Amino acid sequence: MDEQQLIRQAQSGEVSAFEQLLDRYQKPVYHQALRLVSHPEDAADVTQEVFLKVWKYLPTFRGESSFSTWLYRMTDNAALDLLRREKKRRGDSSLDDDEGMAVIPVDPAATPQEALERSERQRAVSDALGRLSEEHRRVLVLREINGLSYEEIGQVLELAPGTVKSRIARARTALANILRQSGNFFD
Amino acid sequence: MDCEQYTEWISAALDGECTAEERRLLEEHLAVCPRCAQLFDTLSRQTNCLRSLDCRVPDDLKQNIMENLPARESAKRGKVLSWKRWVPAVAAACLVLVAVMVPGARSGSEPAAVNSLTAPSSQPFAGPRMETAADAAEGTGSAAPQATLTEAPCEPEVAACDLSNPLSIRVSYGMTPAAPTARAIVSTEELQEFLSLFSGDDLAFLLQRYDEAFFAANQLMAAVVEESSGSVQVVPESLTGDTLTLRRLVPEVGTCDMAAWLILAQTDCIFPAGQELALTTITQNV
Repeated sequence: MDEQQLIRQAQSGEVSAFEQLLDRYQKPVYHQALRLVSHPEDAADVTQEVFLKVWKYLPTFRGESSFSTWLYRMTDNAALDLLRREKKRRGDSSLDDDEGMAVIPVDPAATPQEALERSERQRAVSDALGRLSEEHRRVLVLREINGLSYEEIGQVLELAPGTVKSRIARARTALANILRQSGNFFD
Repeated sequence: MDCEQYTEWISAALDGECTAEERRLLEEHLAVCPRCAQLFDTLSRQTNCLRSLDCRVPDDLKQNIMENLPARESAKRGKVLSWKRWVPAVAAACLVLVAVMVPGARSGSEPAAVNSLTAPSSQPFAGPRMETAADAAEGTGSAAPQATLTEAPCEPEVAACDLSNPLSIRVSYGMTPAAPTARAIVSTEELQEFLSLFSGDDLAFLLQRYDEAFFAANQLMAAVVEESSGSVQVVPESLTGDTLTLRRLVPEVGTCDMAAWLILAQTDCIFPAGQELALTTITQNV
């Protein structure tokens, strides 16, 4: 069914239409969240929070941005909120600082997730992604995990496309540096 | 040109976000700069690896989300200055036409299915006779859910209008004024013009029901709504200020047919001709 129709129906309270939107977007939202917050349980919480917001605010969503832009922006915000809450709770301020410090440990016991990262390289890249600064991680996740264009990323993060372009380049360089430092080479 | 600019172009090239010119300059450079050529290779492999990352959504996530959705209440009682009943003395009842669109092709020559509608009378509408959307839809006029035409609770700044004698008429989906919409109708001319917008249905009988005599004493509230299921009943709930509230009665299991409804009701409030009304809905699971 046409997405616009689905959205309209969901807006007027059709639960089944909302459910179809959930089916379509649950995974991209969860994956985006996972790469931002690292822990599967946290990613699930973020996803739940996002779709609750969709349910609540869809009636007033006017479609000035696309639905997916709105969705991914909410996911980005919710993930950041969670990271900040964690930061406050732990009382450490290193989240945004030097990249390469193992501030957010990737949970080694996350078996279902780990099973997917079969190759060493994928594990290394996944781990390195979690060590990027928030700013670099957010932009790279939207590009590589959500597959958004520079323009769409600009809309989600409210940045000019030119800024997105340079930020992604720096994020990739930073990622390469982390990988090199941890002994993983793509060279 | 320093290598930082080339780094940005390398990155953009991986995303297909380079201009043709940038791509050309980049390739020229890569041919002569081993460092940048290496960087291109490294970032390219790194990017491919990133893009191959997958995730496994927890099995119970969807269920957790669906089960924790709160009931959504969207009716708002706006703090709007009320339309005062400034016509003195007249116990005017406005006919509120709530158009509920019902799906299904309807040939123009058939009268719209208005079940349980009494024979059109040339006398002004007298006395409250509650006809619910359910009655209209089922044609039984029996113990279907009562239309809840209750007056809105009075807030100091807003006076509620009476709504009575509601009528729900299924009309041809896609051949009506753009839904959702609501308006007040104050004369037969206006009603005629309004009904002519329903190109899929013969609603002329309404002109007999709501004739000159009727409009001498009453005004009409008319709403047009669409539903994605003909099983969803829509009834007028209240009229406060210039906002008409409809109640949607949503069954657990419904049909999957697009529906359009014309909903009518009488009101004792006075509106200027052609007054557009704001429309809000309350959804109730039945």
